[in-house]
Amino acid sequence: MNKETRPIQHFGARSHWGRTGPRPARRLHRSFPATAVEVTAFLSDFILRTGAWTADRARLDDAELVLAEILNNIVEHGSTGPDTMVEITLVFDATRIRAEVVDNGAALPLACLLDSGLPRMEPGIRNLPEGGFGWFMIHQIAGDIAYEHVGGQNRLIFSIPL
Amino acid sequence: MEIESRLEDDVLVLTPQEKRLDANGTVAFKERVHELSAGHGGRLLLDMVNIQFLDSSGLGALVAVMKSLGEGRELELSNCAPAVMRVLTLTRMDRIFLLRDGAASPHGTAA
Repeated sequence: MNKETRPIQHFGARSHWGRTGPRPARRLHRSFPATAVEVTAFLSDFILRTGAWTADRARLDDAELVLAEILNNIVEHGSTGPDTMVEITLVFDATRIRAEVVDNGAALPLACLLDSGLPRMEPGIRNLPEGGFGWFMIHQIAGDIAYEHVGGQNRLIFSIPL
Repeated sequence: MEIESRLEDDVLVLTPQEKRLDANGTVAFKERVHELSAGHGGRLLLDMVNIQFLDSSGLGALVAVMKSLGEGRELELSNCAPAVMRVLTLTRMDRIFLLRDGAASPHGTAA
């Protein structure tokens, strides 16, 4: 492993978390192409693997929702072709999941990172918004959101309460 | 997407047979609902009993279905799982759809 030339410091790859405790950190690390099918497969795997790590099903539902929104956003808006890959690392501790998502797709519009509230709701059914809910829900559930675009890679860090 | 369809009085009850209404299936969902409800002028109730996961794309599809009903007609949802209700309440869309409790009852009363 060549740390010096690595463009992004992957906390998941060399995590210091959990070293102080007797039990190794509960960690899930996956890499897959940025396609809808792969995202669905990852989410199934996520529930299967982490279901026993927390007793609170509602918190796990929230986590699945946030991960789905972030990953589907990469598939729908970030993917630049079949070479677009996603690398995700999740570390569970007692109170939260710390997450890192790295991809080599298009840069994330910075407006997404602002908690700008619900999409505008004009009176009348025909004016109801059909989109814009994804980032709103991410901001409602996730915290500690940080983003950088370095060396052609997007790196998004966030935490999800457990 | 497979959706079961039945007519109870003037209420068209549609029951998606999938576990997820998400980014993968929304186009097929909207098309199938449109086909099944074509020409139906009465109430439309979507029995969500099988749906365990709803994301923003799925929510957008529900909004699109409701809009297709036109002004003055509401989309009714029954048997929403906790994860589905979470999305509806987070986005305040629980105020937009007509939520029915418990088993799918076309009149919204206990079966």
